[in-house]
Amino acid sequence: VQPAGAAERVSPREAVPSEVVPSEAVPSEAVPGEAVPGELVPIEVVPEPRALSPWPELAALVPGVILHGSGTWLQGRTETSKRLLLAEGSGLLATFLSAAVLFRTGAARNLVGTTALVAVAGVSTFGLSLLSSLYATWAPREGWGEAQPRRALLESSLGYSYVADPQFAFHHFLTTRLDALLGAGPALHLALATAHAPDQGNQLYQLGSGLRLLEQRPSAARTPDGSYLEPRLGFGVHRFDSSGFVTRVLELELQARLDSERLLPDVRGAFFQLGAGWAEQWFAFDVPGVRALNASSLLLAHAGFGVYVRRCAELELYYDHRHDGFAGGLTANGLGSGVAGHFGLRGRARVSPSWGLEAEAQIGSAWVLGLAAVLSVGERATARLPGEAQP
Amino acid sequence: MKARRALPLLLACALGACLRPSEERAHQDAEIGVAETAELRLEVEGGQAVVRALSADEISLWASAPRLRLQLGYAVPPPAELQLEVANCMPGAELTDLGAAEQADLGAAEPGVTVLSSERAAGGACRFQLALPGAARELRLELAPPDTARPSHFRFALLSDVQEAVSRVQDIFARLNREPDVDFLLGAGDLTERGTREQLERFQRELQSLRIPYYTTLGNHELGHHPTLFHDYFGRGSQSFEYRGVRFSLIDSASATVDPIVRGWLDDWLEQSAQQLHVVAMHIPPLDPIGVRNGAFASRSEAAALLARLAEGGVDLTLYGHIHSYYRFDNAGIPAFISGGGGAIPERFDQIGRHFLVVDADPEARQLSVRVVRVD
Repeated sequence: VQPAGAAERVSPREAVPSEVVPSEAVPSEAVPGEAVPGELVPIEVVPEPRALSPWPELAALVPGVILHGSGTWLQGRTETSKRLLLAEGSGLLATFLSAAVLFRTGAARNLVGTTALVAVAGVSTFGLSLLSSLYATWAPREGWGEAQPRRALLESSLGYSYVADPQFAFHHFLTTRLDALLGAGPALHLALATAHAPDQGNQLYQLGSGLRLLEQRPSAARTPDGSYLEPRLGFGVHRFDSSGFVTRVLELELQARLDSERLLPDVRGAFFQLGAGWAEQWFAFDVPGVRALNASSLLLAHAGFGVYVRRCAELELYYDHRHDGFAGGLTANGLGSGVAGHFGLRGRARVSPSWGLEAEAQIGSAWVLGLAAVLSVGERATARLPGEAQP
Repeated sequence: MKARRALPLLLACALGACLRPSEERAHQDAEIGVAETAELRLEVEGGQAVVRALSADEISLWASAPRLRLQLGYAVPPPAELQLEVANCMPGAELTDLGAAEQADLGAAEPGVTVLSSERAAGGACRFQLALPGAARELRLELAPPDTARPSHFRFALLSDVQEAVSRVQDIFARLNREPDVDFLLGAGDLTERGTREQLERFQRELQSLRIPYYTTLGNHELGHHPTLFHDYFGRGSQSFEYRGVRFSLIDSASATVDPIVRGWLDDWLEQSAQQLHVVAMHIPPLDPIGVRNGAFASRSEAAALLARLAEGGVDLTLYGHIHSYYRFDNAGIPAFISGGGGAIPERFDQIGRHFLVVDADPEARQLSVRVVRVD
């Protein structure tokens, strides 16, 4: 019998991986992630490494870039390596299959939407698998942090964004955001975001509403889990008054966050941020002598790999397939011109119980850099906190 | 070697240079049509011809517009004779000494350039043997078919996206040759598969069987080998010319964007054509009619801004390639056609196959009408 919360290093031959035992004497200053009296706690099994550091860390790069899970395999984490390889294989298979369909059909109009989504999913799965493989090998066993155990009822932010787009004169934006998560299980998510370039003829307004499903409930929680699933409906208006047009976007998207432990049980402190959907975009042109309206569909896809930092911050590296917005898609010379969306790095951190900071950088056909202060109001726990009784 | 080239490229991307992938080509455009030796300086107005060879007594050009204006400046007394060869020349093109013509209009007859001989060689090249006036240090010549400066009805064709189907392109050229009264063929890019020197030369060889000249912009497939190799063979990626009262602007959108330098040129061309019919052609369309495919500009905001500018500038017709099918739609109220029927991997289930467009232009009635000609 192991004391709760204390992981012991044992060899695989000695351990029974699925064994659970009742916890004993829990210190009163227990923190989230540690056990509560009477709860069953699994014994942590640390496998025997096949090679010592730094070989697994190096193997995560070479041949790990091609053979995902190489580093974790040398660390003796066979199951994790298998899952990473499976993800890599699935990603490659989806990529090649969709590429073959696109090639054979010449990106036929009736097939291209679905096929492009599979292609993005394939490439993203490969990318996420690679990042997971690197993280799993390099990060400490417990990760660098975990999901925030509380979420705010209301979050508002005020910030500044710099946009470097060679096609437009605007650069400076005042940004605001208001997010509300109303109710529990499932919560109603309402969002409002704006960006204003007052003297440069550009304004963006976005409204969104979603239903936060499968979110962790405090009653069930021992360790915080940031996973959720959220079908979302959004509408945005982007005014380019000085350029003579306005775009409106109506979008339907399924967004999800999956903590890494859900897929890779011994990889902690990371998450996958995913999204897929469809949008319709209308362009209203209003220039001297011409008033016209055009419509175009838009494939939505987002794939991000994030890490939690302590219990107060998170960082996400992502690919987003959107071609609208400030970042647009990547411009490049060659065969894939215009197809890819943009990349981004997003981070947020709490600096006090009520205040936090958000920062984001995007590169597509423009650079976007943003920083905002966040005020959180009306927090509720999503994981059981020290001293809180089980409901 | 590749790694050594890749590192600066990555650093440049990190610093934002990737935001303008076609900037280098815009700078290259500005250098087309200008060449100099110790004895002679040649400038082709608007960069509308590639200078293939230049010496004191021999000039060889590839025309990328139907009407060429050349300015020759000699640092020394010019040679008695000059041989001028212009490939991709308009049938019936005549050479005029603009300087002498202006002098004659003023009543001060001075000896001008004398055309000793002229011939239209096989493959669409015009050859002129010229006798130059001994005292002239500056010569201004125009090469154009007569009466093409005045607005009048004519036809032109559009073909794009030949790529790997170059071995079958003769079928298309044969069909084009049977099409009556077509003055020239416009290209919306992707004439080659990878834009290599061999492929560009091959395409020019194939063009020799076409009885009309071919003026084209480049496509993303021309960027596979070297971003500016296309310019050595076909001239500017972005250029504008006027023919029979209609303005044509070819825009380099091969990187799914239009460089701000080219946007600046386009503003000038739109201003010049305010009272004219104006046809704009580019390879990648700003917006794909099938939006989820996004065979279009990388940034939809840029696409809309460009279309708004074209609409404001009174553009009458937009022609695109890139998508290997046929689409007819409108963008910002401007009639738009995508015609990628040159034979490259076709879009399936579209019932189109290889094709080209024929456009009837009537500048006096301010009318343009477009029809599809199927090859298969």
